[in-house]
Amino acid sequence: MIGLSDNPSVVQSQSASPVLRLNEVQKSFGTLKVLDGLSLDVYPGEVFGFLGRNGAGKSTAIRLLMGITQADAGQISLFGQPLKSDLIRIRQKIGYVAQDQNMYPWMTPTVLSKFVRGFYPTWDEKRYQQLLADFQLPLKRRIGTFSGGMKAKLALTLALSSRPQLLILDEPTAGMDPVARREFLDLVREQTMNDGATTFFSTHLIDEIEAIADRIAIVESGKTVYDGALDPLRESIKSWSVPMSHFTPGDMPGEFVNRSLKILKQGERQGRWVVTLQFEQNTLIPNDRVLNEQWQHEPMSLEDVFIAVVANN
Amino acid sequence: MAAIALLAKDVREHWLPVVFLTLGCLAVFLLLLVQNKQAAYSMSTLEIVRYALLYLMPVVALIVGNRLIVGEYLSGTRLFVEALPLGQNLPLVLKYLLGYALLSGLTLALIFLAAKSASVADEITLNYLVLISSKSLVMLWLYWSIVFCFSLCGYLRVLLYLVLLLIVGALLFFPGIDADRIPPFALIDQQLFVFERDVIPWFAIIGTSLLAIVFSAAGFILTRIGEGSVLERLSKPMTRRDFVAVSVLLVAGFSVWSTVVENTEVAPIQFSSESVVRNNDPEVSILYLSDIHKQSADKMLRRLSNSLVALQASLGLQSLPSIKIALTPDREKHDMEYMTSAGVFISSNWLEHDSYDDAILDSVIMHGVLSAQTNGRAMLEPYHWVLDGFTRWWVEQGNVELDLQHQAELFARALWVLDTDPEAQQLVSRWQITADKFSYPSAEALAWSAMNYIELTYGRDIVFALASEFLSKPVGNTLLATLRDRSPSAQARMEKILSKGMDEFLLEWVDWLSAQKNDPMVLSYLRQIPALAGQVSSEIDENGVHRLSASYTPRDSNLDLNTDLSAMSGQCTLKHDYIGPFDMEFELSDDYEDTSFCQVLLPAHSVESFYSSGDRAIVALEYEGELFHQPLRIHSERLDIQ
Amino acid sequence: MIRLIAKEIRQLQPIAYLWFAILVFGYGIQFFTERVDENTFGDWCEGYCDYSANTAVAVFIILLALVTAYSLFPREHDESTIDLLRALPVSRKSIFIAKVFAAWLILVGFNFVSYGLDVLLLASNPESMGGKFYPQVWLTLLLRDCLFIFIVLSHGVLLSWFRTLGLIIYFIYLLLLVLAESYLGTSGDWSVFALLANEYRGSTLLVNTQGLLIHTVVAFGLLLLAYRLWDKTESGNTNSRSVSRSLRFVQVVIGVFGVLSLSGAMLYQIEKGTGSDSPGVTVKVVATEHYRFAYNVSKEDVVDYLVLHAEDDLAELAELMGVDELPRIRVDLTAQSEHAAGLAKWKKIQIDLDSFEDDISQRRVLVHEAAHVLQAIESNRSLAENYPAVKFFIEGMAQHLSFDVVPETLRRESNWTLASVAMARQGISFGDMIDAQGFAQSYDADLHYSLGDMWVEALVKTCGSLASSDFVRATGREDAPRGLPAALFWRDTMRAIDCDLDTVNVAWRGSLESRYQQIDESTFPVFTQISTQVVESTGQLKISASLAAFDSAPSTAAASVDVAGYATPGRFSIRIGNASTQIAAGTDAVFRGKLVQDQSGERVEFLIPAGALPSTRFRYQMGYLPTVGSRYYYESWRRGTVPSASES
Repeated sequence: MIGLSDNPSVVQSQSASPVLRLNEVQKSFGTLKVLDGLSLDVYPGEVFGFLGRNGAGKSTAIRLLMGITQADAGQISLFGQPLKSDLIRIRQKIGYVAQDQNMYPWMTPTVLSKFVRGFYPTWDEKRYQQLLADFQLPLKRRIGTFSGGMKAKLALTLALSSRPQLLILDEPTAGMDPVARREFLDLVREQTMNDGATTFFSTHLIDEIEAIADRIAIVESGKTVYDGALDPLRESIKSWSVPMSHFTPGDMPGEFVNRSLKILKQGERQGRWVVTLQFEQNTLIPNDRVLNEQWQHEPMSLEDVFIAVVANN
Repeated sequence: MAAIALLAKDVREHWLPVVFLTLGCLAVFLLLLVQNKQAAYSMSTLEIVRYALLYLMPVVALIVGNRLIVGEYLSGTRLFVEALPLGQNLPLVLKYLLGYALLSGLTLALIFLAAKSASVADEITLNYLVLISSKSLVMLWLYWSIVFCFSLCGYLRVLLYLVLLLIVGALLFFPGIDADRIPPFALIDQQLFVFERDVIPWFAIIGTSLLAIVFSAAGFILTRIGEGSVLERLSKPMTRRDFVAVSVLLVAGFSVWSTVVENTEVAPIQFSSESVVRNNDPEVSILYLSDIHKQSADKMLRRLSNSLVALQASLGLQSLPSIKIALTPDREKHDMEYMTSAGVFISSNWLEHDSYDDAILDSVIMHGVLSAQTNGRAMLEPYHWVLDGFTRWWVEQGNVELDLQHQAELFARALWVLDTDPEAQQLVSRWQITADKFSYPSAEALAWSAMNYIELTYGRDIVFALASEFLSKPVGNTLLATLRDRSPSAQARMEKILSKGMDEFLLEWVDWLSAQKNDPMVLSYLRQIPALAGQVSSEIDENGVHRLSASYTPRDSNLDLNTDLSAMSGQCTLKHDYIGPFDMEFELSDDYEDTSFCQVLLPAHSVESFYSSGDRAIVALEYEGELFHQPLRIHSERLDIQ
Repeated sequence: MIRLIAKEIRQLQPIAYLWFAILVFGYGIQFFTERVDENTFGDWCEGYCDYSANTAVAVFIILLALVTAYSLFPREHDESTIDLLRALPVSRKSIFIAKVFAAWLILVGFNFVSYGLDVLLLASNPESMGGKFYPQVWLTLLLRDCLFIFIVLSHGVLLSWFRTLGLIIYFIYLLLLVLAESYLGTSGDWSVFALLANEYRGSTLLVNTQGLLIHTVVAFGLLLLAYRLWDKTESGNTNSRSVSRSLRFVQVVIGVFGVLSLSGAMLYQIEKGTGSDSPGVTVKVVATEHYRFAYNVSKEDVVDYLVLHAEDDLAELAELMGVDELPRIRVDLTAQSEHAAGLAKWKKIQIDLDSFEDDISQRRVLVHEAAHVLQAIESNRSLAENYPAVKFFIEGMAQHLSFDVVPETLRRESNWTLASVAMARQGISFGDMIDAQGFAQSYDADLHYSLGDMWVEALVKTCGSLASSDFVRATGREDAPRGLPAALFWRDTMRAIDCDLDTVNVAWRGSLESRYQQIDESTFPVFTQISTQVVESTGQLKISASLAAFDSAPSTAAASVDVAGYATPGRFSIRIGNASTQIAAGTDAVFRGKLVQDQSGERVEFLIPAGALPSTRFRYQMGYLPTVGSRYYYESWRRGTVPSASES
């Protein structure tokens, strides 16, 4: 587990109790163990990115959060209360956008709102109509005739119209074109800013996380492999390469004797030997202090960082 | 190679449900075998093969069709398979064969088990086994083809199954169709399927196979129409437009079916015996059984023929139904069997009839003739009294001279009814209740007196006008006909003809009738009626034995009835019988009766009956005097035995 | 909750439209073919409110409820829309309750519309006596239907979890009911069909409260189980159906073990064989020109006697029937059946060689069954299609021919005497004879044999010796009109063979009446002073009656009969009508009576175990052996009531 949690830049909101806490949550389907001791905290006002590969257990975690599925072990608490204590009152404060929008094809947006609003004391019909207009969604057409993107926008509209304190989005932009996706992300950021709501955003698309998340957790094989801000993560992982002709096994870009580091990944790529190292969080170094001359620094995008972290686990 | 791969995929996907399906079928086969051994009238274990083919195999075919075809074609994985480098039809053909193989395997297993069990006491030859197996496999082929075709029809399949069930139900239960001429029904015939060994039913086998080919071909063609676009469309949920299209199809189907339903015309039934006298126009035939009765039959034939000709002329009837009367010497004098489903058919014993009895018989015949004119409706309508009153009026004085003795007896009976229950004057609204309370002869006398009054006060034309209005035109038997007949109401139509309000007419009629009580001849009849009222009691004694008792008490009357019972020669009779919970019974037979003197002090009747608490019985107290031709019902009620 | 229910009702709209279309379709037919003002209450509920259960209506309601139940959960799970509901702030219990309640509401609504329309129809016919309306019966039927719908709906909700396997489970349940009825005569309150069984006290409809209570409790239990199962079931798209390897192994083991054990049980059942229950008895076969007999070795002597006469008797039978070509007939002499001495279906005969002691009777049974085979062939199975109308003739003709070929004068005379007494005392007419079901409801069904025999005797005397066979052939003639009512069918077929039905009936009644005049009245007493009481100690029902001479006008004090001659055991018999739910024949329970002495003198007493009584109301038929060796003479069926504790 990469502990970057004491990064000063995101301290200000952590003194309040977490809106959402998963502690050592376990879940398996028959012989398939999907969550193996997942733990994370989300604090009020945050946009928390929940990053992980397909099949890492993201959707299952979210279904546990929503009480759609029951956990095998571990504790889940929302708004400071155990999930099981008062599931209905907790859910009244949550806006949920599922991965595949399974809404009733025979309903129209109008009928859907008539059905759903009775369950949310904080339902705001004016906002619902406004969002539908913003998204240019037809009021009277059956949902069965909507495209994937339209369904996703309708789901978000539904989630936001109850003025939730916690917005849970499970890969909401799957299947959207880049323009629709950008529009969606802007809307999420804008709405959560206005409401001050906490957003728990699950995705496997790194650029979405960069665009929106304050803090992230990376989950792999049912466990959290990183939980903290983006920049510290990005800073702590560097990559260097040297031509194969100048490489002898065991070579390192430099002697970092007095710093604890971890080789995340190394191997040959396009005629060069590439080494990715991860440094302890509190000894960040500027990327230009390379000791051996043949080695050159390889710039790393967040995606490269994510792949390195995940591949290592 | 591709076929094997596809088969392997289907086997891997469905092997577990197939195991459980086989398990379920074996359990059912076991229960069938055990039940067959216990069944009271089973004659061969192979009968359970037919039982399974009729009831179990269609369900199994549905399950197999659902798994193999519907699952694939509704979920859309078909597109994945069709994208593979294979022949277009190969996947579907393999599914077709796999499904049929599974059904055949299960059925052949059942045939083997049943044959093994039947071979103990029966000769199970190879030919016999091959015959039963081939009949079973052909029937299975038909089931599987139907399920195969309908399974490809997406959401329409439930509707198609319902329509198919309706058609099979209609073919089975509609009497006009000979199931032997329809191959699948002939193939699975209750007697031939198991017990016919020597004759191979080629017509049934070929016919059923052709039907199977038609359904199979339809299935394959459906998948190829518009390169599968129809199939694509059918696998999507129903849109409103589809729903409307289906509803129109249903309504059209229903209207075609209701017009196709034709009544089975039956050749009019003729007496085939030589001892029959006949008249062609109007068609009357009388069976008199032996020559000694021929003369009375001839006399009746002449009387009836004349009366019918005159009636047809008076009412302008286009045609008359055929009339058949059969002499049944062992019947009581007034016990008649009356049937109007194919013309008018009456069996009666007229050998000891006098003119009054003849009038009763002729009135029943005329009742049948006029009831037939109105499709049998007049008896159930508010103008039932017009039918009964007119028929008796016609027979008594329609085209013959009125017999004063008849008139006196009818007047006396009518007066006695009104005296006993003044409400009986409500001819339109209380007719059925009066007939039930006093029995038909008394109700008929009342109606006759009304017709008689109309003749004397308004003239015969008005009597004929009333009869023509209500009895000469066929009455519709649909909802629309009901509504049409209710406006204007029967009473309004009567008032229009009488050109007088009904209440006013009834008052005048009752006054006129009351005045007849002073007629000497009427008086002579009235004095033969005991001034009695009846009470019935029913109790279960301490031993649980039920007793039915009845007693009479004197009642005061506005008529000069007889109060000196000792001088009365008639007897009082208690009649009773079971009835159901809903008062559907109006006639009371003589099967259970107790006759005694009409005494008032002691209970006149006390009968150990067979009723128990919770039963319902109808009980009637009647007076049978020598002067009156038919009994007078003093009292009647329906009892809940407590 | 209201919103959830509203949403479920909207989701079930296609099903509701389908049921509504059926309702419109049903009433459409009625309005096109009937007047609305014709229905009396009895017509309206005919078939549904008659005594005992109506299986057809029960099956219709079961189909309705199962199809509706199957559209509640499976689709929602397969299309994963259940997740949308589960994500809402609403408990799963209310989702489950809302779904079941909505389905029940739709079916109850459909019921109310149907019953409501019927009330309007009945109200439009006030004049006739039949126009009376029975609100208690109407309301009881309506509420009972609603509860019955709830019960079957609960079955459907649970079965739908098993998907199509659920249909087989319900099919096996129905088969077990059939089995229970075959073994025990009735499946009691465990059959859903028994819930719709009708009994009346006066005009008040009685409801099977115990059965409804049992099934309602079971229904709530099943709903609880269904809730647990559906709650545990994930929606379709999380492909969480991948079961663990160990569970799959267990399933395979169950599957294999199940197949093996059932096949083993089946083979064991077959080894016990059919026809002969006694293990270790070898079956032998002997064939003649037209017969193939299979018989137990232990019956060798009687079979030899049968085989000796078989061909000659068959030839004589063929001659009497005017049949030229004889079929090959298979005869199974190994059968044991307490219901029939012999059975015939197409070209197969089955005879129980234990039903008669003397061989000549067995020989006559063979001729009787052979006559049935020839009847079926000569009429090309048309007789079977009009069975209710011609059952008495089929049995009577076979009886008549068998007595002609194998004379048993004493037995025939005794049968004819019994028939003439029944005819005279119970007022049986030709109209009763041509309605087999009605006949069996009112009289002793076995009378069809003897009354039929005498009727065929009258037919042969009136229209010639081949008249009965001509009648058989006439029913199968090419242009014979189909589906005629019984009375018309008889007149039409008799006309086709140029024989007058009324003449035959007159001769028939004449011969019965003349025979009745000659009988010794004392051998045919009547049961009077019938009383029913409950024996406190044993809970049995005691039905007792005294015997009196029959007098056409029974006065208060009926002459008692010397009953000493009746002391022999087994002389008195009573049948209790079973409450079969019509999915299996079921059999009427028979109990023997005995003579007892009580304060009112000698009485016949029958003790009926409580289990044999279908409900507080039952049908019974009492009878006795008039002379040693004759058949039982049964009086007509009566209805009885088990007195409540206070009454007895």
